[in-house]
Amino acid sequence: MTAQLEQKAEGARVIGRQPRASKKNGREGDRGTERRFATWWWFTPALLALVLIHYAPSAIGAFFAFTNWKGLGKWQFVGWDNFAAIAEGGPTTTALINTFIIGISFVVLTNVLGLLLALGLNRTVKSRNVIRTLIFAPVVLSSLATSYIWKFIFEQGGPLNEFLGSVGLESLKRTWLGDPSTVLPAIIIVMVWQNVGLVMVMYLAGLATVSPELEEAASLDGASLWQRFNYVVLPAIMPSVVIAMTLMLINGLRVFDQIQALTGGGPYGASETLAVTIYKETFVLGRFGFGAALALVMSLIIIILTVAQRLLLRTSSKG
Amino acid sequence: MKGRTMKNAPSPAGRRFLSVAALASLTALALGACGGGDTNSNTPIAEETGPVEITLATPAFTGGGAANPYQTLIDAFKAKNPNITVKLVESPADQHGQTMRTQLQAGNAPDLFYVTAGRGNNQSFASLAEAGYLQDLTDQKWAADAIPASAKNLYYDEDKVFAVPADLAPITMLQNTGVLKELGLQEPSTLDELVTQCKTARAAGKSYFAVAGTSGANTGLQAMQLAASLVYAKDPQWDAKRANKETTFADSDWKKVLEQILKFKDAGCYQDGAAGAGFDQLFPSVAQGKVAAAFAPAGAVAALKAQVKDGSFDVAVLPGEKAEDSRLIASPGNALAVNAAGKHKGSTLKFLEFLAQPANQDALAKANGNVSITSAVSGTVPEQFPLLEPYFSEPEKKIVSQPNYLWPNSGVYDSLGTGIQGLLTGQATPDQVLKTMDEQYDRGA
Repeated sequence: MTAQLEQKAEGARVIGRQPRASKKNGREGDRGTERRFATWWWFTPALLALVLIHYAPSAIGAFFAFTNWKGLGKWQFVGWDNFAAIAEGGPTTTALINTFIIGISFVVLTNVLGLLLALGLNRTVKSRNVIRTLIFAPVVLSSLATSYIWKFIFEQGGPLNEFLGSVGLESLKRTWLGDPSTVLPAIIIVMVWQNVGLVMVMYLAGLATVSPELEEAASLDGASLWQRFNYVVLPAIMPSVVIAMTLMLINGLRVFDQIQALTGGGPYGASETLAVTIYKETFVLGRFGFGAALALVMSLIIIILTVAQRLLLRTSSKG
Repeated sequence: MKGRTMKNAPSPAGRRFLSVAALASLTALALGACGGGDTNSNTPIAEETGPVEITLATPAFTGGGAANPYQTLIDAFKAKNPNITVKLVESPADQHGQTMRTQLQAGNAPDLFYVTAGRGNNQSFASLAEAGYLQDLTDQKWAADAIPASAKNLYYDEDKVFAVPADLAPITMLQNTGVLKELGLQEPSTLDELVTQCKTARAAGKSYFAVAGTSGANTGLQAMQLAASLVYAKDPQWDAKRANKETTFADSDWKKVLEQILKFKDAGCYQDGAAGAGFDQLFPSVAQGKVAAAFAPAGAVAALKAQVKDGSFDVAVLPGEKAEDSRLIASPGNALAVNAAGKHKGSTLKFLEFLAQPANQDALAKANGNVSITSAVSGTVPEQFPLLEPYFSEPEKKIVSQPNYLWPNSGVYDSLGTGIQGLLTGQATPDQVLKTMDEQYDRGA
């Protein structure tokens, strides 16, 4: 029974393969082996560099998650103690909740707004190229630089409060980044403002693949605007949806620059995310072991959520 | 080596697993693969006669466009020792500590660099010395002579010396005397008087203090000034008692410190939006006369005077509950340490010995806008700070050490600073903040 199943599975794989050239033998086979060897030969330096520069330091860093290293001097193995300390909760729980709030809001807002902008600027608007450029412009700017500009905007005596005062909305004036109830929305606004242009471009690329004739045909068949979007446009741009949502989820969950520049995680930890906590524990408080453990946990969360999102999107696109 | 071809490429599930594993490694840590270790070298220190270049690293100097104060001394040293060139390297002030730690571990640290006394922040010398990165200076008589008797607890680590103090930065209130005059306010002699003055300033559309709620370093300075009178005037040995576990932050007068901050807040002493204000807003607020004062090291007044020519600025001490309780915080906290793995230790020690000479320390303090150690020891009142006269004339009675230098790790001061931001926003109570400080303290060095 097992053999039959394997045979069937193998058969399916054979069917799925691209047709191959005839079986290699003699000089042709030697040439193939040489080609493969050459491929590896050229590939090895890059692979070595990648391992030594990227993977090895990360692996050594991960090793320190099981130590009490303070960033200097000697260290001892502490087993799972750092992970137990994380599980105890406290500030790390707040950071985890904030990470989820920011990550999910960021994915939803960038994708909804990016899609709406892309649909609006796809074909009909006359000066669409100029508007697209203006919306995309923040993407190319440094996130630190833009965050400092927004910090100025959100200041007590900054332009936002000045504007609110000038239009008679004195009651809405507040310390946007110093108030625990407004700090997260303020950070999310800055992040969405900077990234929505990128998502818009991804959706514009997707929309370019939708045939106008198909849309016209659906329209002639009496399909409403929503039906045209849902049954014609959306299935065609599904690859863009998957890419945009995955990238934005990862960026949202690991956000650091904007928060560090805008609030440093304050007020009193109200905007601290996992990435900011890792930085603070590691480089401010000198708890490298704990910071490394927290970094591993954050990576795990990002991987699980990203994989779950991919599976969800795959299921819905098939459905 | 046999290469992998498409024939034996992993299945989609396998590829997913590899991708996940790769992503795990990639995103796992942005932490460097740094190892600790004992790098202290026992190589004999030789006199160098040929051309030598040594490096001195300090935090970036922000003294109103003036040159780094060390430059004048470097030039004077070069005139006497033409074979030794001292290269000055600056790093951003808030990153100096971490930069030095990273460079020491990587083996490319400067020969001589700025540190602070004790172990209460990430620039402190003690943890670097314990890890074996600093040259032992115990045998250098001039190094021991440069440490005032009152500051031995800040510099001696198990009878060994690893750093030499440079100058002394009193922690004060930086005042715009023009604003105080405009509001008709005299220097307050008690905290109650100060609270009343806050209300007067508020009624006139100004606030007494500007604080940077987002900067734990700034809010912490304010708390330490309050603690000078509320905690240390009554019990100068409080830190020794805390170290011996005879007291805690939660069960001591530190609670009064945080309660006083709440009183200031309720009286409108702080500027609007103080909880969300950054460090960059402090000096402009004082310079433009929007507030009467800010908490800062006394040396900052020189930079302010240099930048705002038509302003009148001074430094004063935050009063205590009673006038006689007022204390000034001033410790010789700015210091220099020698890299144990430096290649030119002979020349480096020669330069440090030059800097440790009283006349050169005086010159450095003057250029920094700080107080020289010789002035502090002799009880000479620094001419640039006339309002500090009552304190420098009775240093043993009226000057206390900067508390955080004596705390075991940077987490205690960080908890104090961020906790005060929580008090300003109403997110935390004094008890919560003090409990966190105790937890951090009990983590040890």
